[in-house]
Amino acid sequence: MRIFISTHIKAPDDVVLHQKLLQELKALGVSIITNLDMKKGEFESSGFGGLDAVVIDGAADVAEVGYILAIALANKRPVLYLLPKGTLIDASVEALTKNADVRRLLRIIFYTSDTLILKIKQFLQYLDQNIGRESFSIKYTLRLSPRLDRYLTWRAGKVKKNKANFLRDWVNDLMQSDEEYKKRLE
Amino acid sequence: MAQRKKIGLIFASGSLLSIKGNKSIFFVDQEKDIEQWLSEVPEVRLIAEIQTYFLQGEGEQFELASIERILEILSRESANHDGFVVLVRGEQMIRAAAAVEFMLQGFGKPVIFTGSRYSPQAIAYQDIRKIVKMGGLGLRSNLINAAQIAVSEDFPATAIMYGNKIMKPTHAAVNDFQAMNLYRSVDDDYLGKIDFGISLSRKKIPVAPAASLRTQFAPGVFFTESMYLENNAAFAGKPGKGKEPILVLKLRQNETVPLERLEQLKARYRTVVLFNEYYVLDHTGVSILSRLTWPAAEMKVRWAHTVYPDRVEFEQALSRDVIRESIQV
Repeated sequence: MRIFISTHIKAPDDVVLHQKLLQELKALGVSIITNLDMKKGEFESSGFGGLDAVVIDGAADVAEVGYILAIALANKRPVLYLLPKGTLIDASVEALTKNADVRRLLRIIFYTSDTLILKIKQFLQYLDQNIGRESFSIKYTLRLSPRLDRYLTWRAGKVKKNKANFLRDWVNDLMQSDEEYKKRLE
Repeated sequence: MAQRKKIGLIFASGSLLSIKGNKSIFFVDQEKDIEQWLSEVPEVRLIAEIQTYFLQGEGEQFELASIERILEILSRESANHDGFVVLVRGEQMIRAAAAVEFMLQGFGKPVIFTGSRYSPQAIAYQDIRKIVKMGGLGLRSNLINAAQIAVSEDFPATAIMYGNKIMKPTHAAVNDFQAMNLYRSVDDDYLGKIDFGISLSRKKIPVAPAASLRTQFAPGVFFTESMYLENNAAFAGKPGKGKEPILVLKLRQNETVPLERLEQLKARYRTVVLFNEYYVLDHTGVSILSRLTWPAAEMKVRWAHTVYPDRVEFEQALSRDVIRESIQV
């Protein structure tokens, strides 16, 4: 899973929280890009289209927040928009939630410093569930021996599927029954 | 969030959006379409307050007068906005943006051009998904990126924003009509790029003197890419009593104009300008223009003719690198 986190550092406590968040998410196998890394010029142009989700700290008093939210939604990425408990939501963000397409993608959650990591983990778990229709957009080159190909052709034919669908369904069944995988984000 | 800035969004074609999960399209053909169009891109209002200006719909022909109307709105509304986004369809965008670079020197605010590459008439329902998959209807992201650039601090530039590249209009050329980046910069030098944010190269913005804004082109400039077409409007009929002002003749590389033909042209036109993107061989008694793109050459000549009616001053203006439009080797 690859996510973009837009955050801001105002106080020393924020640094500690940010580092803890990154450590925990990386330990879960999540690949993270943050706006703070971006300023170091680390990334080549792949853009928001290649992300699984975007997490935005809406409390940051910077113009970039509006832009990151806008471009993430334009790229149809799921967005977790975080606000510190007791903060008023920006009127322009609130107006967005009236749009049905946006509502499907945007989750606005209030947090405290104690619950921030938990809220993000819950969002990732939510994404990990089967949300709507998946598109099979990742392409692989799979090399097989003639012997394995003969078997795959025979087995897929037996259940009246093409080889690609047979393999997809097989991997999906494997994932559904993998308890260790399901618990990895907890 | 920071205090909200104001953007002027000008509709001059190029408004074709894919909507409803890429199952339909929507575009602005009349002023009353704008409200619904904006409701299809609600994200853009996160970046700034948007005030819209309707110039022309998708069904209308984009002409030199359309560019003059863009210039007029920009000039008139300059004080009311932090920046402008101008929507123009792909095939006319470079010309229109290059015109703004020349005619509104010293404008002092971002003017960012973007727009769709297709005419609505060219899109069949069954092609929408295919075009979207190829990145062909990416107006939504282009618009948001353009809006963000239009509110950027210290970026008083006219630029084209398309795909993940921001470039100077007078250096832009069509790259690949199918690719995400419709345009490229001919010298591979960009004003900025998009990855997970926008990086702008502010040092590359030409420093212009105090605003001298021009919104109308002086008439009487003729452009042609062939000196041999006798029925070409530039050569048809006999010369009248007064000479026509200016002819710009685009030559192929290493092409020369025969002496007899050159004399015919000089008899008809007050000034003859010979153009090639790279180099023009020596010719007597004419102006030479090279190391420019063709749209940049067109707009440079129109601008120079507008600002300098005097022939000598006009020719001097052509020889100057006015807004860093020359392509350095």
